[in-house]
Amino acid sequence: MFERFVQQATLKLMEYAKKPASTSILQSAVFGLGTACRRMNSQSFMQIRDDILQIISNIVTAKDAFSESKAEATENAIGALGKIAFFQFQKNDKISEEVMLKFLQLLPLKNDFEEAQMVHKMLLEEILKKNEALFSTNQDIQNAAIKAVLDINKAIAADSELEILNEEGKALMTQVLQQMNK
Amino acid sequence: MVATHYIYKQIAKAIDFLNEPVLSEQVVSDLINSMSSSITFLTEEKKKVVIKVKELEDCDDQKKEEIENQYEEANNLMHSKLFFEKLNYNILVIMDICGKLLKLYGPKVEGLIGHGIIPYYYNFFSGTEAPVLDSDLLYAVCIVDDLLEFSSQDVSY
Repeated sequence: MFERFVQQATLKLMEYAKKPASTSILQSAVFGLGTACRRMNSQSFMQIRDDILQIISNIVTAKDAFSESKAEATENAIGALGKIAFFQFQKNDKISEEVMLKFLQLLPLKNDFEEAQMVHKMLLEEILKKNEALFSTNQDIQNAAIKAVLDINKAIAADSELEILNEEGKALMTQVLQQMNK
Repeated sequence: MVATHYIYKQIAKAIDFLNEPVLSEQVVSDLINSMSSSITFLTEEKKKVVIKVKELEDCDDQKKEEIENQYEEANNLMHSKLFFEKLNYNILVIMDICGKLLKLYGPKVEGLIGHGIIPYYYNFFSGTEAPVLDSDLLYAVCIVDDLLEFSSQDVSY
């Protein structure tokens, strides 16, 4: 029953993300899409993968993607991309690798602090868990992951008011940096 | 309605302090039933305001002026819209509390919330009911986001 609910809700969220009545609705719809993708089974996801990735791509590559009015919605789209990258990863699948690479290259998030804290924490957790999506044979992904972590750290060091890691995230960052220095 | 909004707002703030599901099942159940009753009441009030607003909007300017002079302030078009906003504050806070309860109590509350509260929002989300205010659809999307995040695999919405 939950799977059916996820499928129905996802289709509707895709409609709202394609033609949002407002930026707030776009932001909430794309956040919901990310959550749905994280929880739906891979069979259901594969049926809508192309459509969802296109929706996210349109948001992230829009000319005004990082304008003051759109930046938070865009970062929720990046968060959705991250959830797809980690939780719908398929081994030896070129698109899965491209999605992960794109996600990592778009970090760090700096506008929607709530989303930033969640997404950065997710990245750090998955690094510590040695998620196969990051630790595959693709060296570009590994390099991009390292760069993303260092960029998050650099951003915080440069601006103490940038609350892009919560306390849990900061503790995870310490562990990840320790591992990287070994 | 202002009192209701204030009470729900305080409840939402109180729940923010909870990291564990420490409220008894009875308390949570009573809260959800209360919010469900509020939603039912607010839905009826909203319908009445929609009719009043429509009546006023359909009038020509002269008739509008007659009505606005004749009736109490509460029937004035502008005040009807303000009343709408006040209704919606309650709907927003209820949505907020539901999300928090789902996060804390998960399967224990999803049946009650799904039956008593979600349909109001889901009607806007699914398109069964046309939104009256812009926020109707936004709140509906937000609560669906919470359902997607916190619902168990056994839920039957």
